Amino acid sequence: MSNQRSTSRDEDLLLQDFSRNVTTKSRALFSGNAAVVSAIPLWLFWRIHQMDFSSYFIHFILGTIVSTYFLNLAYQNMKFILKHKIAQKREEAVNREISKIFASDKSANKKDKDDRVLTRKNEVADFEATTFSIFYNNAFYLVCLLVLSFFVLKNFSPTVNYLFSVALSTAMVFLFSTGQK
Amino acid sequence: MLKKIKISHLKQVISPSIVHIHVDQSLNAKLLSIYIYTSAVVSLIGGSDRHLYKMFRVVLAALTIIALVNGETCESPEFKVVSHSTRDARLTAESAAQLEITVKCKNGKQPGTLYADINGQVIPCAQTPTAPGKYFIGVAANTHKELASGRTKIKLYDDDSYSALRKARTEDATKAVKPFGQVELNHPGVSYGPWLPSEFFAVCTFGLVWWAAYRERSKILG
Repeated sequence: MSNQRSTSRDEDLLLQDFSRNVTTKSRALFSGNAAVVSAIPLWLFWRIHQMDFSSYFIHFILGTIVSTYFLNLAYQNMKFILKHKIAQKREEAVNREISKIFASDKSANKKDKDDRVLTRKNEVADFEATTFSIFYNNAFYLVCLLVLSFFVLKNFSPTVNYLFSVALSTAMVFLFSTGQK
Repeated sequence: MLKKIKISHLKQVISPSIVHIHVDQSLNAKLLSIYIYTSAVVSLIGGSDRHLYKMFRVVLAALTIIALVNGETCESPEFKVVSHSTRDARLTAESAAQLEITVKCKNGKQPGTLYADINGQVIPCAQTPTAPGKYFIGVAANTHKELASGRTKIKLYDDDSYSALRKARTEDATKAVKPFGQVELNHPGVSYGPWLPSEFFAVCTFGLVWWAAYRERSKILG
């Protein structure tokens, strides 16, 4: 019975480790960041391209929603790709940390230690992958948006400029988030 | 009761200096009316009496001097200048400048018309009835380089000094004419904008940040 429980627990950990599903906390973090980063360019288009909010609010709402959705997906994709690699790189450091904790505890067995290492490794990798994914995708998105809006599409009308620069930069971020290299 | 005054009688007694007196000042108007009627009375009643006639010519000359002394000459003028000029050269092809000169005279009088000498050309200054004591000069140049940057001295002439300037025939005589005053046009120059636009610096900054993130990602995935 206890073996079955520990096996199911191991399976849960493995599933969690290799699953693309994100926790509620990560989901909230991703959505919030995606919304903020999608809303930042609105200020640029309002003040520099002279797009009045009252006249272009439909474009702005549509662009922000689409951008938020695809940025969210890009965050999740990149997090999944990075998590395993980060877990491999941080394994040694996590082992050292857990060994120090368990060094004083004689009653703990190897199984508990391994479970603890796996859990801790998962936490560290999850957090680091989440934050790095947000950081990288935001930087890439803003660079693409600035280049498209102020250099490539600068001679087009403000509507075309906004829609195409947001759409193309969002598409590029989403596309490159699925890459393994 | 005075009889109808003949123009010829008036011309005999009114001295030429009175002709230049402006009659819009109330004091001068009163003085002029006093000696016109006085001279008319003298010509009609005492015209045959040469001594009386000579005496009144002296009186008239004295009144003329009084009228001139109480005339419209501005004394010890003080100038306050506000200048505006073209600053942006990217969106404009020509330069223009405008000066607003406020003249304050010690005796409270204002010069009738002011003339400004700008680069050898003497032009009248504009005035507005809503702002007495303020004179406006506009300068336009076909290119930005024609309007010299820095401080340019502008001589001002009132009616008397402008008349003297017009009468001067030689360059020495022109230079000898004392101007009413002198002001300066301060033109800071035009700007063609920064060499590199601000979006270039924004892209470079974000590009560097992205480049650092890309390198880190490559290390992780490699």
